[in-house]
Amino acid sequence: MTPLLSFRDVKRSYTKSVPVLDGVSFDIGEGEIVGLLGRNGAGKTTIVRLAIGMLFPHAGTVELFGLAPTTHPVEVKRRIGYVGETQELPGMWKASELIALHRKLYAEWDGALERDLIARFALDTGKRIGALSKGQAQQVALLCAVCHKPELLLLDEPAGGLDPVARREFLETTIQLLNREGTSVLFSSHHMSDVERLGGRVLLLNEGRIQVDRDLDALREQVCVATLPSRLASDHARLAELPGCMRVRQLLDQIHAVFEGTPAQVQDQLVQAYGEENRAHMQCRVVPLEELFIELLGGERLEAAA
Amino acid sequence: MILSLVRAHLGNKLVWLMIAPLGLSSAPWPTLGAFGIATLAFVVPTAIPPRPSKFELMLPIHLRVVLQARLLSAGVLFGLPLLLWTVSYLLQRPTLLRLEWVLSVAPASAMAFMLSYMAPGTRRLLLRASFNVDVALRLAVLAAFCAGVVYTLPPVIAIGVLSSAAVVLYLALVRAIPDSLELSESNATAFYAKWADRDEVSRGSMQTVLMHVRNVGQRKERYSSERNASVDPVPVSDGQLLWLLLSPTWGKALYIVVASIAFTSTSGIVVLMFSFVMLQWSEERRQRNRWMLALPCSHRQRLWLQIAPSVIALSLGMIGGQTLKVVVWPYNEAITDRGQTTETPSEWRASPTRTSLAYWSATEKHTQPLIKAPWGETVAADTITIFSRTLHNPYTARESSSARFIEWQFQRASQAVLGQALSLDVYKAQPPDERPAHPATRASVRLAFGALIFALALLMVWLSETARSHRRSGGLDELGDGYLVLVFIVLGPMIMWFEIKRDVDLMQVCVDAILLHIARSVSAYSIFVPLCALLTLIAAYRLLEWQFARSETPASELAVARQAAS
Repeated sequence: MTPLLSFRDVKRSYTKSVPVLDGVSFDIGEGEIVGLLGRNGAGKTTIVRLAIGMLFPHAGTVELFGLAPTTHPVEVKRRIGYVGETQELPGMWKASELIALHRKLYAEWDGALERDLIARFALDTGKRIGALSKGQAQQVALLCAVCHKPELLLLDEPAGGLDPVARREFLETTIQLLNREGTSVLFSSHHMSDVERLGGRVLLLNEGRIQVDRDLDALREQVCVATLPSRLASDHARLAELPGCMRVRQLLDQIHAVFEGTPAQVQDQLVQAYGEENRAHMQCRVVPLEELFIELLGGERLEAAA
Repeated sequence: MILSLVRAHLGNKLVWLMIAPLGLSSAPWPTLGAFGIATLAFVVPTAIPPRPSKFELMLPIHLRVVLQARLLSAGVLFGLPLLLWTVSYLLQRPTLLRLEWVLSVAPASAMAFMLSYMAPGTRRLLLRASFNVDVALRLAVLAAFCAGVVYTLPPVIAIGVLSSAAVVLYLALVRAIPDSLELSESNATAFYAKWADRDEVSRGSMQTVLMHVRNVGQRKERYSSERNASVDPVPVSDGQLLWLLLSPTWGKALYIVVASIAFTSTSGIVVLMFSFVMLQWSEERRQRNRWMLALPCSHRQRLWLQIAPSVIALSLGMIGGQTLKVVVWPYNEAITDRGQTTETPSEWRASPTRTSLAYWSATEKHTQPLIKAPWGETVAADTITIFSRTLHNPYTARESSSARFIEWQFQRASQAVLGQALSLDVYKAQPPDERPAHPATRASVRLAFGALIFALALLMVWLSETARSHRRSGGLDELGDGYLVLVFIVLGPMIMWFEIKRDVDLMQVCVDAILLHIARSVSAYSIFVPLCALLTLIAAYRLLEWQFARSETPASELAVARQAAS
């Protein structure tokens, strides 16, 4: 079956010889919710923009519904919804006028959902967009992006300007409602809580590549962090070569290593490598997603400082 | 759909409705037209950005529709006011109706905004072109127009060429835009490979940094309304900071250089256009330099850093414009080339003894004095009433006057203007410069004039702002260039009104009057004029600096605070 969104060895750079994306490949199927994670500048927005056709890939292919978004923009855009962190809606328009325009453009516009969202967000649609707060403008953008029931919803930090209530309404109700009806969602966010709330699959971008691509549940249960004293594992390379090791970093007098596997499995593996007598000094545990994110992406400076 | 997009474009661009006709109306005159159109080539992309917004990109519509909407917006912005301008101009001065004027405006204006959509501009609709390429293209456009190639052609051919070019460009643009990006994808990749859109990452990261600093700055602003708003000043390299200040807006600084070259033409239209370019630059600079609030430098230092880019850009432009003028048109200020009229324009135009208004004498209101030659021949003097003052040309001669009378008057006029009595035949054979040091003196006067306006703007800051407001905003919003713009916005229409209504070049008259005064009192070679201007400018700056310094914590209090802290 053709995936809804497909990236194949996509490369993109803004500065010569400094790739933002360096061979990114992934697929999103029907009904999937995919969270795009990564540090600032990791390429999350670039991926979303490439998916919409706002940017050309320098190498590789990007396809939505089997079509390249740069060659079939109208067909593709009719079937997707997009909300960016900065949407740049026309400030002089009233929210109602903008919604009316979208209603005209999309044949499958769901008036009931529109009314529902207006009520839920408590939007004053008679106001000009420029007069709305950032969060309210974002709510209008969200409404315009979802009421035509897109097959794929692309969200680039969509809830950045929303207050906690609206944020939860949007994430838990709107997206999940759409998802139940078969809409796939690709969203980038810095908020681990958003990712954890929505569930689904996680793509972790690091140094232009996808470092982690797995279900959130699998990530929670089958990835753990091992902590060892640095005297024990002074040879980082040896630790990194162990099967399933995803990342090693030094944190003051401790070594933190991220491993695939349950804590018990990883503990056994470490005992085999470093000896039974050191079992007491090794700790393996499943950590919250935010901590895992930091273990996977952070820490270089701490390592250097140590 | 197109109309909806046009509405979105025009929503907050109404100010351009005022600017556009002014720029476009300069099209009929070769020099001004070149500058006007070139300036528009810079201005149009701001009014109607060539880059589509994310909002437009996300709509399920063809890019062709976006382009058509943009062109229509440009047409409404620039075409409609131009039409109104032309009609009103012609209604006011039907005698000046010239076919080539009317006909050349339309294609020239069409060309102006078409140019802004050419090559990289068009690509910008599809992808993000390199800023460098864009600037290079616009400079090429400027050079092409400055060369005056089009204007040197016979009017009919020029009109034909320009009209055809406009139509062909429009059709080519609309047809060239594919429904998709497929056709230009390979070009785009090659383009990026070569030019690698450097600005996005660097600007992006820069903005992130600046955003952070700005936030810090804003917090500081919010909590620092007390006297010690300024943190302990530390030595900061002016050069480094100046570079930092200029770097985000260097592109716009280029506009100022170009605009101030045009400004040396003294035309009211150009002055007004210049003021809007200046306004735009000033606004952008203000927005982009808010991060300076967080810098640990004193208010006084920051004042200099804020004003310096304006001064540098203006000076470069004015010196460049003046040099250009001296090199290209060294003799165009000769005695009979003055552009002003009287209440009897047709006869006056034929007069060989028309001088600048600076050389005219005051007379009783609505009277026409008689000028009597030693041998008894008389003529009623040309008169003009400005600001309720009636002036007469003491050197008036008419076609009906005798040759002897004309020769007598011309010798008197040349004595007054050129400092030597010349016969008409000698003058016609080789028109001399007004004075031996004319170009240098004239340039000095113009520069002094600019400096005085700048000083005036600084003084307005000083008069209008209190130390309290400086403390509140760190002085960033109270810079002279905002007032400078105000001065120009007032001056521009006034000068323009005189140009159109009375055919008087007001700024030229001011410069002439100053020159005349200088010629009568000091040597033409004297550096008195620029020195005076410089001193005025320094005085105004010192006043402003003093005003800014009042918002800083005095050194004595600072020392006490340090002692207490230690």
